[in-house]
Amino acid sequence: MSKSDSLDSRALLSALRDAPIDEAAVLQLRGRVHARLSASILGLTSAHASGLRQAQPTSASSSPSGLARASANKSLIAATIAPVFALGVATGVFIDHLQQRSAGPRVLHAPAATAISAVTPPIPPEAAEKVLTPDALQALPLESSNRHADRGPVDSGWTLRAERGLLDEARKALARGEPGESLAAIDQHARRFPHGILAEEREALAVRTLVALGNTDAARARAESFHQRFPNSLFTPAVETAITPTSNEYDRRR
Amino acid sequence: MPSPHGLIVDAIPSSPEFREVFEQEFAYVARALRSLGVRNHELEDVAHDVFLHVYRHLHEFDPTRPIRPWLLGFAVRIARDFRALARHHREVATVPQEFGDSSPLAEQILIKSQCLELALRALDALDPDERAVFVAHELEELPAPEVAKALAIPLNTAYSRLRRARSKFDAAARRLTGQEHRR
Repeated sequence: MSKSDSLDSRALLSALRDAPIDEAAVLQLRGRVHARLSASILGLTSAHASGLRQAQPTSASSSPSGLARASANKSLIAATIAPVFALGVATGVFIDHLQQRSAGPRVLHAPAATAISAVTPPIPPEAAEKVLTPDALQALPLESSNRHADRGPVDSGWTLRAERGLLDEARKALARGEPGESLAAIDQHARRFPHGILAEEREALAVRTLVALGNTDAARARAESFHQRFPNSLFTPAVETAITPTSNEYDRRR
Repeated sequence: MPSPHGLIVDAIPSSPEFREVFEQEFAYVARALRSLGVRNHELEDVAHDVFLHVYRHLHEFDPTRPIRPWLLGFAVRIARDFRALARHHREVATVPQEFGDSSPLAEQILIKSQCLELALRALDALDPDERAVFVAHELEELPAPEVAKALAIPLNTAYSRLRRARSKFDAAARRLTGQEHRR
């Protein structure tokens, strides 16, 4: 197939292909997207959209995130550029919606929540109050097949869905204002997948959950361990924000 | 083994893959999104959605293959969905002109030039599906079979969209540069 032979077309195409990038603008944009990403993954929303989302806490059919945020951005155009996090209430729904809206280019898989429900027994109510302690951990059997070294290609798809299911459960519980249930799901993940693919996400989520439970000392300790274990984490800003005394979640529990 | 803080401490470092992809390929994705028709003021939202999907699907990526076509597949789908919803919500009418966006939250990631502005306007003459194929092939320089794979469309469809896209782009380019010879 011959290339376009129009001189004008070629000039315009090369202008587009070779357009220099404004490095500073890209870094700024990347920083904002980074902050929002870590917040979204952990079930927080950025200040830009929090008001709008809180107005529609359970609407699974509301407009997708991008559009919602675009509208919110318009009304908040003068808002601070620094990422300020507020407790999100609809992000569980939001992330599920995103997942349903557009799966990856090549691979589709069943919704994680469905996959996990078949293999995970219901969480007993008493588990909801349990905080992960060294003793509790030592008493738990670790599944060696979940360790990185042993994870094969056959196992990894199922494992990840199971991991995802538990963390989705935790995130949704937290969004519903039930941090006890959230912690139970987090603990379950920690028992079954101590070195799982999503361990980093789990530990960040755990910090937020402990803050929501009012257990700020445990939250701080866990945050400290998080930073040691994941020094270059995507979630570092969100973890820091969660344990910062000025954050909404923290204040609520003081 | 448990730490004094009740945490499991293990010797296996976390996978830095997503962070690496995000940092190394952000500019690529942002540029691709602009070519696909995402406006400056929408870039933050759409890039966020793209990388959220990347985060969730990174385990599906085949590391023996180049990552950019894979990322482009996400960019195309999410940009298209975003435009469709924007139209549905009649947001398009309020979309500012290219480069006319004064929002402090909207960086102009590509250095402005007259040619660039004309090129983006010429791309606006294509429908989204044609535009995706055109951008992937002409700008990202993917061979047609790779384009078809990245966009999950049949090869023949890729070719026919490319043909239509070139024809429309050429016409728009001639019109925009004031050299169109009316027939």
